[in-house]
Amino acid sequence: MLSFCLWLQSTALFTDLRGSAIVYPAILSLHMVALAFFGCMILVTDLRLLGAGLRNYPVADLLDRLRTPKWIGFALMVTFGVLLFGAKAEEYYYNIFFRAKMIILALILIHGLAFRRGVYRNGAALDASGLTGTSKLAAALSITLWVGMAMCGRGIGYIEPPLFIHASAPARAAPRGDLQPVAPTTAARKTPWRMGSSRRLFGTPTVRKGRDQRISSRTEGARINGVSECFLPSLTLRVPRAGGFLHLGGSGL
Amino acid sequence: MIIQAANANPLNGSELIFPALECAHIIGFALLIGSIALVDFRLLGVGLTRQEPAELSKSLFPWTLAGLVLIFFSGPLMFSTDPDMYYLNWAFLIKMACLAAALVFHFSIHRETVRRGASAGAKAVACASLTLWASVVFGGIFIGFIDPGL
Repeated sequence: MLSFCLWLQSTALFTDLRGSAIVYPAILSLHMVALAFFGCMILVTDLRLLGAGLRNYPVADLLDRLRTPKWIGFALMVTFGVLLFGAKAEEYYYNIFFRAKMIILALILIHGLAFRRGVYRNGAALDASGLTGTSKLAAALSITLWVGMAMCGRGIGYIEPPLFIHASAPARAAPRGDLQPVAPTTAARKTPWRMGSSRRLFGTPTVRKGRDQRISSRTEGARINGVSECFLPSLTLRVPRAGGFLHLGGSGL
Repeated sequence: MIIQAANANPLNGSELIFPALECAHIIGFALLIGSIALVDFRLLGVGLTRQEPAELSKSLFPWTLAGLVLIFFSGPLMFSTDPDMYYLNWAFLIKMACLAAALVFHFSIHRETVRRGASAGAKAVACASLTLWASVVFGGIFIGFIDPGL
C-alpha cells in the first residue's frame, strides 16, 4: 500500500499538483463546494426520515428525486478527493484522520447497502405505513457517519506529516525574523527513498500540539514550542492556520 | 492592540477550540448553501421538481436559518483568534465581499425570483446564486493558503 502511495504521488500529474500553489487549494475548494451543494441533500433526506423536517414532502419523492443528484455529488467529491490524496499520498497514508475517514467511507457504503431494501428503495411503503424504527435508525446512522466524515476531513489538516516523508508541499511562506530555518542541504534533498523501512524506523505520526504555537505576529515568534526545532536542517515546520497550514521551512528530509 | 487582543483571547488557550469551530462552520455552510442550492437546482429543473420553488424554499427555510446561525456563530469567533492575520489576508477580504454579495442577492433578487417560479430568467438567477456561494467557499479555503505577510 505504501509503495503504491509513493508511486502515485511520484507520477507527473500529482507531482505538478503538489508543486502548485493555486491548483491544490482550488481542488480543495471544489471538494468543499461539492460538499456544500450536495451534502445538504443527504441531511435533508435524513431529517425527513427522522420526521424532523419537510413533513409535507413524501419520503418517496425525496429519496427517488434526489438519488441521481446525490450520486453525481458523490462522484464529484470522490474525484476531487482522489486528486487531493494523490498529491500527498504518502503523507495521507500515515494520517490517522485520513485512515478514519476511509473507514467511515466504507461504513457509509455498507450502510447504504444494508438499508437499501428496507429504507432507501422503499419510499412508497414508508409513506403508506409511516416512518418506522428502521428508517429512523438508518437516518440517524447516516447523519452520524456523514458528519464524522466531514470532521475527519477537517482533522486531516491538523496532523503533522512524519519527518521522513519524501515529498511535501513547497514552502508557501518565507519564515520571518530570527526563525529562519537552515535551508535543506542538497544531500538531504537527494536522500533516496527507503521503501518499507521508514515506518518501522520512525513510528506513527503525532497530532500537532495546538494552535497557540502558531506565529500570530512578529513579537510572538518566540512562543513557538521548541524554537530550536526551527533550526534543524530540512525540517518542514507546519503551523496551523485557519483552514489549512502555513508552511515554513524547507521540504521534507 | 489587535495583536494583544489575540494573545488575550481565551479561544487561543485550547488546541481543540479552533478545529471544533471549523467543524461547526463546515456543517453550517453545508446547511446554508446546501438548502439554497436545493432551491437553485429546482429552478434549473433538477431534483425536487414536483414542488413549486417558493414552497420548497419555505420548507427549507428553517435549515437555511440554522446554517446562517451556525456560520455567524463560528465565523466571528474564528476571526477573533487571529484578527490581524485575517485582516491582512486578501482571500478573507474577497470572501467577505462575496459573502455580502451572496447574502444581498439571496434576500433580494433570489427571493423575488423564487416567489415568481421557474422561468428562463430564474435559471440565470439560480446559476448566479450557485456561483456566488461557491466563490465564498473558495475564499474560505484560500485563507489558509495565503501568507498575509505579518
